[in-house]
Amino acid sequence: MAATADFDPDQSAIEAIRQGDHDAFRDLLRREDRWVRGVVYSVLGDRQRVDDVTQQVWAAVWERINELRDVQRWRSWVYRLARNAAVDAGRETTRRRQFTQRLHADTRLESPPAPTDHVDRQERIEAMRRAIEELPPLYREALTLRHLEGWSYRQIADVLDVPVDTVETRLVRARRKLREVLEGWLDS
Amino acid sequence: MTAMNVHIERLIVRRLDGEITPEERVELDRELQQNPAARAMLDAYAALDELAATVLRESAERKSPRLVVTSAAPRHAVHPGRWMVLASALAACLALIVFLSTPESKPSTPLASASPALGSTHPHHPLPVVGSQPASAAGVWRAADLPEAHIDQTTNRNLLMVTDQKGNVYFLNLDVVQEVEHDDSPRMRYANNPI
Repeated sequence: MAATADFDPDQSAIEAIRQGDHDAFRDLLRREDRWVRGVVYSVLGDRQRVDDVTQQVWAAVWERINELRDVQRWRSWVYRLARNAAVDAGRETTRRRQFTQRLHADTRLESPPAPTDHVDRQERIEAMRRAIEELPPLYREALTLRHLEGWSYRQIADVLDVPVDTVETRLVRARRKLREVLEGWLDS
Repeated sequence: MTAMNVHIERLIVRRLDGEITPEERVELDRELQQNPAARAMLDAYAALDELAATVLRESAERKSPRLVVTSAAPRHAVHPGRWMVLASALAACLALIVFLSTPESKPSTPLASASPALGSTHPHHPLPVVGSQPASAAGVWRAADLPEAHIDQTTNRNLLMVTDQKGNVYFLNLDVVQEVEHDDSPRMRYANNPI
């Protein structure tokens, strides 16, 4: 999928949506829903609320499509809608998480399994999930777009509206951080 | 981490992300042959990527092909109770309002309202509705007519997005829910038969 190629077929869909074409909106949503959900998840770090926030984003896309000035930058525009919605929703999530983290502080990742312990794949996935949710949102965001859609650094940079070098740096640091946090889990 | 290691780390990440140039690939391959730590880093990052991709895909995918209502709080419900919210959402999923549906479900009527959290509505093209006629008696849906739904939480919003078993996407307006009853034959009514 080309996020911001010279020719972006989704631009015509955006124009159609501006004219009130519901089918075009449905098709766009089907094609693009996953990365929008990825952005929401990456900002929130809470998969339980992804559905709820994402639906707000798509409703906002429909209702505010005429506010989009540069059709070529529609993904950046949707990204900002998604990010803002997730940030708003995240304020509540953060408060809740801080509370539950205190409750469950002794069950976090500080205790990797002993070398002789068998750690099956599901346990590693759960450990990774917690590690990803603990990443700084900026790192998590780049990692999500990279892994979810396979976007290039350039494509991610265009959507996030940051330099390519910044995307690369975030991806490097995300891996470094994950490795630090998950040391012991990957070796098991 | 030394500057050299940082450089190698960056090359490793570029390789994993498919961004490495041929020249960098030669440099990295040479380093990997000579440096066990670099090889360990590549293996670790590759394993991390595989797991991370699994987690992120799972987190971003919709969990179920069934209708999923993540929230529901019908504003005009008159019989509060354990079944109220569930039945309302169930009813809403089928009966109400809908936006993106199959081609034969072309919209015909504007939504009664949009979520107040969403700002102004589309100025020229309000969200349409379909599914305007109950499957059973006029104005009343039976629970048996309704698809299965699951509610995770409540919300003050009145516009919900759900997907059905075919992957169609719907926006549902809960404002039209007036009453939900549940006994042996749960059913719901709509305010002023608005659709």
